[in-house]
Amino acid sequence: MLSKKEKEVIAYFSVNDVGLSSHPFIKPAKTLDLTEVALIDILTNLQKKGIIKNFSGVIDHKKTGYKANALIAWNINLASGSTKINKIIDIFMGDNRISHFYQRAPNIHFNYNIYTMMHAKTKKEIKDFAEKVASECNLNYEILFTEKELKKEKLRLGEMLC
Amino acid sequence: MDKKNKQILAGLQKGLPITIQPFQQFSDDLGLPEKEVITRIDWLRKKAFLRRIGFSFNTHKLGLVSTLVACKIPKNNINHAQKVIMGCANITHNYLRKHRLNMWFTFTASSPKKLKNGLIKLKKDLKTDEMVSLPTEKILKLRFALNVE
Repeated sequence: MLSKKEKEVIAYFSVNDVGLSSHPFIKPAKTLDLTEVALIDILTNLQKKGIIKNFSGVIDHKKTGYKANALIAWNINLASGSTKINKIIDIFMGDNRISHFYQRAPNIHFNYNIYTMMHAKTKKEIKDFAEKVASECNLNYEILFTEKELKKEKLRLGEMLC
Repeated sequence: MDKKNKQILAGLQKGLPITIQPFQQFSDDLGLPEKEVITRIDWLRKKAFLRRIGFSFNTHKLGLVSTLVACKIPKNNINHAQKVIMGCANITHNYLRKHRLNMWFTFTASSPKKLKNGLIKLKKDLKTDEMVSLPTEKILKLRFALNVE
């Protein structure tokens, strides 16, 4: 279970970024009524528990030249003992252009169980990648190119955890 | 973009240490003075190469449930749908995609029941006759470290 203070820390950092200064935790510690050291202890603990996934920088992929973005939906037989599945996992895990790789419950109206987000310089690069993986592993897939980003926000965890 | 900035962007994507002076340790690892690194990060942010520096959380470990939702929204209804989605705290990402199901977003809630009821209400609010929910079963990879050239 999370303590009240841990919840407050999670809620705070779910909406606030970390500032650019030599001591960026002074201000959040003050707001949270903690010392800098106590805040670092809580954050370190949350990271150990796997609740903090990462403390990192998020780059703008469009600005850095990744203009083609797509969700690729795949239909993959996940039955254990299948050698194919290990090969596919290796491909997706090892490719830097794949940022998200999720298994989802398929739906009769959209019958795919594996979803990957891919970021590349051109649409052709994505098409070629999908085509190659699909033919090597004999898979059905569909590419859903991103046409427009309408919303990209952080989840306000304070409202969810109470 | 020069070599040092590329190095900094690559390092920031990998992660910063959780310490009192994270940028100090980060700079030491890169072999650059902290002051220079902070000035460079500030530039990268102002030029919008960098969106943000902060924490991200494992929502599943926090007991939350999530799903990817696909809807069919006719062109003349997209503005209305977008307004509904902007006002919904459960939705963090929303994209238009080239497909019969043209609007795709993630929906997170604090329990399966709240997720189910939230989607029923949302379907009405969006005025869509086709909505497909694809609940998360397993996150196999969640990483963002693109090569910056």
